[in-house]
Amino acid sequence: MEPIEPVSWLRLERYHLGELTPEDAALVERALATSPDTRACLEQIRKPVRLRPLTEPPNRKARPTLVTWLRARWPMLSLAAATAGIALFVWVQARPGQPVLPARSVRVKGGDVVLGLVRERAGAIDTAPSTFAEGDRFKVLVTCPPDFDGSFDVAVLQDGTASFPFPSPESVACGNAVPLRGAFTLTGSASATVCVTWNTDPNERRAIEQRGLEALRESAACATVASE
Amino acid sequence: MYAPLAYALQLARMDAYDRYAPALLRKAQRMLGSTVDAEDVVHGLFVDLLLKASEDHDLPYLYRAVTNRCLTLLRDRDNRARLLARHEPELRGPVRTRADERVVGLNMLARLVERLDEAHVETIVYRFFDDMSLEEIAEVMHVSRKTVGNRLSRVQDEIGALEDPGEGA
Repeated sequence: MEPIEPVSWLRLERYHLGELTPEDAALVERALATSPDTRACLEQIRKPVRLRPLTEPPNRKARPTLVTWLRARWPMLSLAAATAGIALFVWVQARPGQPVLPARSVRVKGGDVVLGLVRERAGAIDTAPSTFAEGDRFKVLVTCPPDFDGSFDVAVLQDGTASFPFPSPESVACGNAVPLRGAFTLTGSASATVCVTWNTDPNERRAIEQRGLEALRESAACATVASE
Repeated sequence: MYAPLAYALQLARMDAYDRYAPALLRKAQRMLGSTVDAEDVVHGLFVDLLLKASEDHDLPYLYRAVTNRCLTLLRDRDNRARLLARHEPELRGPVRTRADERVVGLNMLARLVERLDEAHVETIVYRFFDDMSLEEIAEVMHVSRKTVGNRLSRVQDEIGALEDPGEGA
């Protein structure tokens, strides 16, 4: 008599998750009814697992063998941290005759638009970065009122010039800490001001390139990070 | 001034972490015999996934990704020695598939990693650690059932050679 193939761990996991078709689930149930080992496996699967939050750093710094292994050890942004609200470092410096840097939180109809800036550095996530260094990656999150009709763009002002990390403005469904697509790095030795803008003017980018902060007015929220 | 990256951070991937990480953790624990290293592997996988502009992935895809990350860990001699020294055998779970009645455990896997190429070692994991059928392995690895059978046949030969007291003497 041919030995019966056991139900694989993958199949049992998918059964537990409710991902199998009714036919496949029935096959699993038949195996469970007849195989104590299969039942033992499912018991193990059913035990609650305490997941390590993704914001915690790796357990150890193993010697990397590949660049991808290095990258695989970086912790992740926690959804809990993002939805609980992102604390931002805002550095606003206003001098006579100089344009005022927009705040990170700006009042709009229905609520506030708040800029969230998240930095990832060698596996560590900082939800309130005040500096940047080579290799850091930044992500922009936007909190906006539910009825806010916003198409958001990101501008980076540094050393008197403006640039735009993303190809075009992005429409988002407003809520708490909504991530804009893409991430970017910052270079150079001067502080960089990262702004999220929601001006509907199609020439906004040109205006920002030409006039910098002056062009931002009420439709931008900004945060500045210093070069380390 | 800036360098736009091709990656997109999607917080929706956090749902995937909650949903699939326990299964992936169990899988990595079975392979590595270490909870701490298994956590790191799974953790690191989701970090990379979240930073990539890619479509959502299902559990079979993630299973394969974890397999390859665990094998990468095992290919490093120092990591291998550490894992073997601190092996937690209870993490293996019930053993339901064997290679000619021999259990393929971490010790044997560590030795086979040095002797076989990636495709063969990956096949070993799916067969003897995940208890997959040849059809399932073929589906996960995107090869034919025949190829899987040929690889397992080679694996059996290598395991037999390992068991031979005269081997490498």
